[in-house]
Amino acid sequence: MRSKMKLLDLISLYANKTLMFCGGIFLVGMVVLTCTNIACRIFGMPVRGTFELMGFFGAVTAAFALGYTQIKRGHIAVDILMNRFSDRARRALNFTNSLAGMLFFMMAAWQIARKAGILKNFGEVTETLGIIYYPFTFCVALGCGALALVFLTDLIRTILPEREA
Amino acid sequence: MKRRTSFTLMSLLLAVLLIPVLVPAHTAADTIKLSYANFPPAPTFPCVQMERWKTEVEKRTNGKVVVNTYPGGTLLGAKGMMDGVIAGQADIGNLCMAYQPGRFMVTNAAGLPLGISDARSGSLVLLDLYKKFKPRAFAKVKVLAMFATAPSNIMSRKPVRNLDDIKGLDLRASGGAAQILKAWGANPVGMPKSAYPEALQKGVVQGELSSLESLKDFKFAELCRYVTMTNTAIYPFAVVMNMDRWNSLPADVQKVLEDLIVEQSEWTGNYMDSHVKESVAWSKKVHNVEFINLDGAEKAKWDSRLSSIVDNWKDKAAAKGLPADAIIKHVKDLADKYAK
Repeated sequence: MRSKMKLLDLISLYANKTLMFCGGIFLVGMVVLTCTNIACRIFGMPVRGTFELMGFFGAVTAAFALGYTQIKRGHIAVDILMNRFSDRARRALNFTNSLAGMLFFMMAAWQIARKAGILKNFGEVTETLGIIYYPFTFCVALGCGALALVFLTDLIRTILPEREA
Repeated sequence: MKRRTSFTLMSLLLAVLLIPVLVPAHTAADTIKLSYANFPPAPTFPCVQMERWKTEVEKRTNGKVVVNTYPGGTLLGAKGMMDGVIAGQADIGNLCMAYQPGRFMVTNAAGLPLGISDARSGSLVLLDLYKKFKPRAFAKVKVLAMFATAPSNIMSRKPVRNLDDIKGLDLRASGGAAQILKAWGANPVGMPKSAYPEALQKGVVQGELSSLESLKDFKFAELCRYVTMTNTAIYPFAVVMNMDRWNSLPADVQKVLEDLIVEQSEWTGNYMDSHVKESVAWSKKVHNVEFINLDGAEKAKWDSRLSSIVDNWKDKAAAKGLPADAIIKHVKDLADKYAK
């Protein structure tokens, strides 16, 4: 069981690290795009589609960072009450929290992937560039799925802490 | 004292709990409630037509149908409207097809520069176009109305008097209007109207190519003091209803809604046309907006750049297996037929 847990942990860690890396590439892309647009606009030829591309890149960057941020406990958490509880109560709350988080982001991933399927099916394109954009939507679904995976490992850890210790 | 307080609290709680049990008894058992979602703010024309439709439907069904309206994107946003209605999140929704050029290829043909002269004729052309070609995008919904804005003009912070002024200028436009801006050398930025006020305020865009009623309805005249008269490209809208909900309606209600389709579309076009005049007069008076008319030679230069737009649309439509030539011919014929 412990070795399986370790494997799951590793999968989750590397999957999320990979996504974080890709998210970073999109972030760099956003910086380059904005700067190019600002520079080119001075000469009266702005980069077409900057506005919509920034929206898509931003969504992907945020979604890809979700899981890794959770692993590093980088998301905002309110623990003013948690610290006053007993170990058992704390563990029960962590369990509930991870379970709720996992279920929510699994549903989010599923629904967003479905939405992407609809966009693909109807041949939706962006307003300015007229390019397909469902791949970006799929990326956001992937990011949510990766976060659900992190919650799953957290969940198992709250059940197995003694054996690990 | 303490006991009395808790007793009062208990009875209050009980009263609150009983409200949902007692209140529905007052409304008639067989009223049909329909939710109607809309994306722009309440004073704008898509919402004005929504309230008019609500009033007419409630009157003509003698109160059998009650319509609850949700303006300002409170129930569904601009681009989520169609899928939200198909999924049943709202029974009825109003959407602008120009925001989704891939999905509504056929009906967006009405937004091409094909000589539609006003909102009334634009609305009727659009409705006929839909009826004739029955696009796949509408297979899962019941269409309750279609209407169009008046032809678009440039409303901007800086004056646009010639093609040099417009070169590289960031202007908001969607669908056919975006293609036109591109042809004139501007930088079209696509976004739903509901996202535009913030973008204009922040300077993401310097103005837009749209119909003139927004000068007043959105108070854009406060920021955009210059209008360049181009009279081109309409924005096409559709009001759609969830198909299951439609099928569940009794026949007499269906007939009322069915009879309203053409009437509502034409009413909205007429409202738009008269409201544009009002908005122009208001902008001149209250905000001293300058209306720029291009002279003959300049106008000819602008028009000459538009010839390739329709061909581009035809190529894309043909690639999707649509009868491109027939659609364009139909729009042109109808535009002539309905022109006053």
